[in-house]
This record gives sequence, structure tokens and C-alpha cells, in this order.
Amino acid sequence: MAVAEGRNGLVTIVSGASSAPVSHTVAELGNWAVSGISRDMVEFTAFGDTVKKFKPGMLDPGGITFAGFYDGTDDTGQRKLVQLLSSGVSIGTAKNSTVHRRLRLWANSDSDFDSFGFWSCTGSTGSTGPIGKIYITSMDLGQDKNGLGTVSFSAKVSAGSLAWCTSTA
Amino acid sequence: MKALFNGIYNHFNTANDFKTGVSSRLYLGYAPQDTAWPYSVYNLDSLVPDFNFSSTYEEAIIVFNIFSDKESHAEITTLYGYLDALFDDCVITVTGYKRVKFQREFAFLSRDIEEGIWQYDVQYRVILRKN
Repeated sequence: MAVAEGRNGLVTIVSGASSAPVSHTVAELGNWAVSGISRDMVEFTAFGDTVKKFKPGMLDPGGITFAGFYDGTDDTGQRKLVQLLSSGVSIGTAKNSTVHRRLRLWANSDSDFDSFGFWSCTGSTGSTGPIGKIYITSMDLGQDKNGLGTVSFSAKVSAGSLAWCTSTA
Repeated sequence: MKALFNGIYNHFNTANDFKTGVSSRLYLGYAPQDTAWPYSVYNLDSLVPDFNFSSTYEEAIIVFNIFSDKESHAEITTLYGYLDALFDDCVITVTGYKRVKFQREFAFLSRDIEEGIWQYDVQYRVILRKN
């Protein structure tokens, strides 16, 4: 049995070729979540049936949210995400691209603890790049006179599922 | 939190009205026996660590006590003004940390009738981010 301690979580954006990946930590975050993973069920009830019948349809890979304190100096993290939101460019590009190839949601980024690994879109073998892509869909900012400035991002996973990974290669 | 104590004292130990007003008599924890009036003491009321995925923070409550033996309130209220001008929203240098906040939360003035001593208690909330 191995559980992941929350404080060792992390959100990173990976750039660079897969042979020499460069990981950029999105600064000042304190939580992330994946939700909305669901499968459509297609009804095929016919005359004479007394109970509805369904078959599994397509999978919705769900969405991602992560949040923390706003850091306007985080060029390779928070500000990069704002650029991706503005441009509509996805995270998850060709394997050997030198731009944002992956978004990694670390359950535990410290290999000294249990459950070292992260959730990410996979499918990196071959030259077609990862199967799934992640689009940043919204950003919220907050400011309270008694606290620190906050930021939160939402993202949508498309065309592929998140998978558990333990290798950063 | 030695770095914070040093930062507070170093901030005090420059040319300023509060230092002049208490004749450099600011002490951590307690004042020596028979210290001359007026003087001030500062204490750490609480120190709470906080963190997120990538940063570590310390949130401290610092309390200054100013003491005056004058009959009039003039000295103690003047010293309070000097203290707050020096520390409220101040840019303090704490080795190993970046200052996020140094803000007064409240102040309380009282007088010990029997001893004839004025006392001003002033509380500040300090947030530091570890480098």
C-alpha cells in the first residue's frame, strides 16, 4: 500500500525534445484536481423492452483544475499558461517538438516518498506525439485585502486519457 | 526564528524616532532588571508554517510592548506613533526569506494604576516566503 502525501504534489510543463526534456514548475500552486472523466452510455431500447438498455459510448477524458497564488514573474509556468489560453494552442505536441509537450500533474514529485509519479497524457512512442492534448480553457484571478493574490486555471483533456506515469523520459 | 528576530532588531537599530524615543532600549522577550524608562519589549506570539507545492512560508505574530512611567499619556502615545511608523508595512530584511507582509493588526493601551505605568501592546502579522 502506497499513498501520496499532498504537499509533494506539483504541476509541471515539459518542453524540449523527449531525449532532453526540460521541466518547468508552475510556481506557487497548492492544489490540482482532475474531474469529469465519464463515459457516454448509448441507449438502444426497442419495442417490447421493459427495461432500458445501454451500450458504452465514447469516453470523455474530463477536465483539470489547479490553483494557488498568482506569480506574475513565472514566465515558464503561470504566464506560459496564459499564453496558451490566449492562443488556443494545446499542450501535447509532437514528440520531438521543443515546445510544451506535456502537462504533468504530480501526485508525488519526491522519489524518497511513496507513490512517486504523475498523471499526464501519454502516447509518446513513435513520431506522432502524445495521443491526448490539453487545452487551457480558463483562468481566474483573485485579490483580497487580507490575503495573497490567487490564481486558478482550468483545462480540458481532449482525444486521449490521462494516465499514471512514473518515468519522466 | 532567529532570522526574524535579527531582522526586527536590525530594522529598529537604524536612525529613527522610535529608537531615539526609547533610547535604544528594545529587548526580545524581557527587559533587564531596573531598565530605565521608557523601554520596549518584543515577543513572538505564534509562528505557523505554511506551504504550497513549490514554496514555504512562515506566518508570525509579533507583539511589541511599550512601557512608560510618565503621569501623562503624551510619551506613550508618541512612542506608539513612532513604533507604528517604523514597523507597519515596513520593508524588513530577513536573511533567507522574502518579506510578504508586515502589518499591524491591533493595538491596546492600558495603565497600571497602582504602579503608575502606561503600557501599549501592538500586534503585527508577518508573512515571510522562504527563498
